[in-house]
Formats: sequence, C-alpha cells, structure tokens
Amino acid sequence: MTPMDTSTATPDSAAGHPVVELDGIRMSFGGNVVLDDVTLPVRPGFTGLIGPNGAGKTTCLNVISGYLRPDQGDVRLGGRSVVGGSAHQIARLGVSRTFQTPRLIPHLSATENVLTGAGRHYRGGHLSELFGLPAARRDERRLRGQARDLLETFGLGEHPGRAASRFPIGSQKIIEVARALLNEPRLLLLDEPAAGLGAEDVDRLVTGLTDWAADRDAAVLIIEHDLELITRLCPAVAVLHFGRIIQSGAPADVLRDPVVVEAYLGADFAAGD
Amino acid sequence: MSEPGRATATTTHTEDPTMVTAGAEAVTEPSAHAVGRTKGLVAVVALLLLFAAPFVLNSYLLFVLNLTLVYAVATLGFNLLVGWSGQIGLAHAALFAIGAYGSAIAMEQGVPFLVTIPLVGLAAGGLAVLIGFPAIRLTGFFLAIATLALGMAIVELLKGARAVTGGGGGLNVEVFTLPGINGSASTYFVTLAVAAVAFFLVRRSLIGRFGRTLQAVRHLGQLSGSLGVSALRYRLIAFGLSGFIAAVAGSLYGQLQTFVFPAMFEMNLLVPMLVMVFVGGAGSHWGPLIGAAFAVVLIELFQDLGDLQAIAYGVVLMVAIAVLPGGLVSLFATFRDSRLVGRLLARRTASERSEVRA
Repeated sequence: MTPMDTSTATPDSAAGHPVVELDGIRMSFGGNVVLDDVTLPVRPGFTGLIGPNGAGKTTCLNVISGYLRPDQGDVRLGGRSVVGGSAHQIARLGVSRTFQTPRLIPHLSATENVLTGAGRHYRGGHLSELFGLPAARRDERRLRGQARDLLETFGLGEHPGRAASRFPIGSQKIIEVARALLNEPRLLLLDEPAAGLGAEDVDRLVTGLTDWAADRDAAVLIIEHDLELITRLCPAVAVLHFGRIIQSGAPADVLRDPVVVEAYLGADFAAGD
Repeated sequence: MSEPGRATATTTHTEDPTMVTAGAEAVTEPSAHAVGRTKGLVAVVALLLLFAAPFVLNSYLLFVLNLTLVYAVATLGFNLLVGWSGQIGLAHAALFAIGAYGSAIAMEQGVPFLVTIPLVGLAAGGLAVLIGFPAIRLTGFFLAIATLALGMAIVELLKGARAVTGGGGGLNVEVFTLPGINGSASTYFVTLAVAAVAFFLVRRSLIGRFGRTLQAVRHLGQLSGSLGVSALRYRLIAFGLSGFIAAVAGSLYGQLQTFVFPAMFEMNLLVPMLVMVFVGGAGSHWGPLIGAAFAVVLIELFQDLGDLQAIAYGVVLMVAIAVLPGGLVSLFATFRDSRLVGRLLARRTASERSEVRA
C-alpha cells in the first residue's frame, strides 16, 4: 500500500510485531483530505513521524488515540481493531499521549499531575477511597512513589510539590510525558515533545525516555521537527507529506532521499533563502 | 475538544495558582504527617465547640448557626459540581427543594426522619443524573440555561402537585426530636452530625484520586480521555453526587424552617447559593463553610429588599468574582504562604548567622 515496502527498510533493532498498525487510513474534514491511505506499522522502540506542517501528523495521533474516527481504514492495537473506541477506552488499553501545548492542572503539584495518568492502575474503586480502606491507601502510596520516581528519571525530582503552573513551559511538557508514562503504556504518542524546550530540557527528555524504554517492549511514536532528536532516538522514521506516507526506514536513508528532501527539507531551504 | 467552564466565570480563577492548594500541599510536603495531625486536632476541637453551641447560644443565634451549616452542606454539593467538575449546573436549589419536600412528605407517610435523609438523597441524586444526561454534553452558558430551566420546572411541579405538596401554600414539616432534647437543639445536633460526616467524606475523596480526576475533567475537558478518564462519566457522577448532597441539606432545611413553600427555592435561593460557592472559593475544601457563613449574614442584610434581593446577590457575586477570584479561602492561603515565606526567611537568616559565627 505504501510507495515503499516498510518491512525491508526497517532496521533489525525495530523488528518485531507492530504494537499499533495504521492500515489504509483515510480522513477528511469537509471534503479536505487530511490523511490519504496512510499505512504505518509502529514496532517496539522509537519511531519518528516527520513531515512539513499541515501534513497530517497530529491527525494521525488523534486517529490512533480515538479522538477522530477515520473515514476508511483500520487501526489495530496488538492486532485488535480499536476504531470506534472512545479516547478513554483506548487509553485504558495502554495508549498514552502528550499534547503540543502541555495540558496540566495548573494549581496541582507536579506529582499530583503525574498521578492523574495512573487511572487504570488503581486496583480499588472510588468507594474504597471514600471509606479510606487500606487497599486504597496502598494504591495511592505505590502510585505516588512511581510518580516521584518518574519525575526523578526526568531530572525534575527536586520540586515534586511545586504547582505545575510555576514550572517553566519546557518542564511542564516533561511533566506531561511523565504523566503519560505512569499509565505504563505499550504505545506512547508524543506530539512535538521537544518544541519549546531548551537544550538541557531536551537532554532530560531523551535520557528519561531512553531509560524508561530500555527495559520495556513499548512502542513510542514521536512527531518532531527537531531532526537531530529524531536521529538520536529513532531507528525508524516515516515521512508524511500532504496526508501520505512518502518514505519510511532508517533516518539516515530517509533523510537523504531526494523525494523527502524536496518535500520536507527543500521547502525549508526555499523558505530560508 | 471543548473545555468546560472556559467561557464562563470559572475561568477567572482557573489560572490562579494560589487557589486550590489544600489538596496538593497536605500530602506532598515532607511534614505532611504533623500538619495532618494538627489539622485533625483543630477539626476535633472545632467540632466539640460546635456541639456545645445549643447550651450557650440564644435561640436566634442557634438558628443562624444551624442555617449556616445547612447552607454549608448544600454548598458542599454545589461546589463539587461547579468548583471541582467545572459545570455551572443551576438546578441545585430545585434539588435542595426535593430534599425538603421529599423528607416532609415521606414523614407524613410514617417514614422516620433519619431514614428520609438518605432516601431523598438517592431520589435527588437519581434526578440529578437524569438532568445530567443531556447537560453533560453542554458547556458554559448552554449548560447553565438548560439546568436552570429544568430546575425551574421542578419548582413549578412542586407548586402544581397541590395534593401532595400543598401547592403554592406550602407544607408543614413534622419536626424530629432526639429523646430528651428540645426541637431546635435536636435539629441542630442532627445538622451538625450530617455536616461533619459530609465534609469529612467529601474532603477525603476530593483530596485524592477522585478530586484529581474531577479536576482533570475540568481543566482538560475531552482531552482527559487520554488519561483513561471518561469526561462524560465523571461529569455525570458530579451531577449525581451534588444532587444527593443538595437533597440531604434540603431535608435539614425543612426541619429548621418547619414549613416549606415553593417560593423559598427560586432565584432568591439559587443566587445566594452561587454567592456561597464563589465567595467561599470554588474548587476549595472549606470554601462552602465560609461562603455559607458570609451568605447567611448577607441574607439577613438583604431581607427587606424584596424583589431586589436577587439583584443585590447578583451584584455581590460579580464583585466577589472580580475582586477575589479564589474566594475568601484564597485569603487564608495568601496569609499562610506569606507567613511561610516569613518563616523561611527567618530560618535562612538564622543559618547565615550561624555560618558567620563559625
């Protein structure tokens, strides 16, 4: 279906069954085709999704995470179709995501914000919390500990009690990543995680993500304009252009491809001149 | 991806970091345990003092205190809906009326008063969920209008169902008395007990996962789906709980007033209820109590204004939201923070001094 067979271009490290598969996704808004026959397997490890603005990258994430229902095609999570499932159901199947602009609860602490991502890992219900049962307290203690550990992983362990809105925007984006990870996702969707981050924050992000992913089978799909970050993290990358996947494979090969250079980098160079 | 409450008054304080800090600070600070114990001790002492009130206060002051507690419970439910889940649902006064009427009517049928409290709670909770079904898909202005209309329809029904409710003329409420204690003191003790339990339980669930989830729904709207949270489900839960609590408070209100009539539950109640939420501090833990105390004083002041009352409350509401977006509780937070800052400064100068000495 794709112009190039992805399996031959995928390096060995990214082999394995895809965690999520987009299969022939077509999506249009009022006659405006945004995604046109997009087929994309996302395997364990890091996969980059790049392309010029307006190519349909965020729309892809919205389709996977259940915010948009595609006109055609299928989304399979672990081989099972999730099209038509609502966002919270898909999240509970182990799909986490972040947003381009961080969406935190401003007056709650960093730890509390991360904890909002723990939903499906509470064993007890709200009633056991209401009546203060030991099981509820254990849940809270365990997950609070994990939330703090995640903040540590990302180098934000210093101020776990500080209100989210008092963190700089880069740190807020990282808190959001930590929140997504507390869901213990098998698929993590990151929408421009490095945009607006300083070099130091980018390093925190990369270290935290690689630490987290090291002993897991999870797949991470990253939309990012920072190609250096993509090259650093992702053994596989796919290029979206006008709603179509025009190339995919190892970043070194993909970024050298004349078609990609013209579609993506060429446009940038032209703009720069 | 709409955001509930964005276009309404609640926005004013959503960005204010000083607002709802109680939930976060109690558990994340290192000295949380000691702080928690002190707070618990304060609560117990306050409760004991309140239990002594009927022995020291005259009947008027006892009535005022009782009324404050009834409104505080009602506002506890309203605040859950408006402040925590971010939905301006305006059927609260009507659900409060359901509690007052329901309890009185059930007592006429021979149901003991204490049994009517959970019964009217469940009935109004169920009704609130029904109101919630269409309402949770609306936000801001449309949500307010839709629930306001439903609330007014309920009050009209109370007027119309003359055979059961006595119509516009009202209904006498049989007063429950504890053995060996006079009527007004009995009513007060029951109110105090219910208020204490309600505040304890609501605070405990809001301080933890449930409160966080409601706030995620409020601040992220549909995007809270990405956290595995069904925004619609939690909006509906907030409706149901607020309705339950409203009716419980209403049943206590009936006992206190001993006579109920539909006009008690119209705008002249709904607007002060909003004042209680916003002046106390929407989305706070103790705001309902402070807001209720404030409103009771206000109600006394505005008593003689007649039809102008609702307008007067409206003005107070607007001024409160404009001047003090975090409500009166935010003043305490500001005060505490400044004191904390003061103490930290003192500590630093102390350590600097010791360094100098060494």
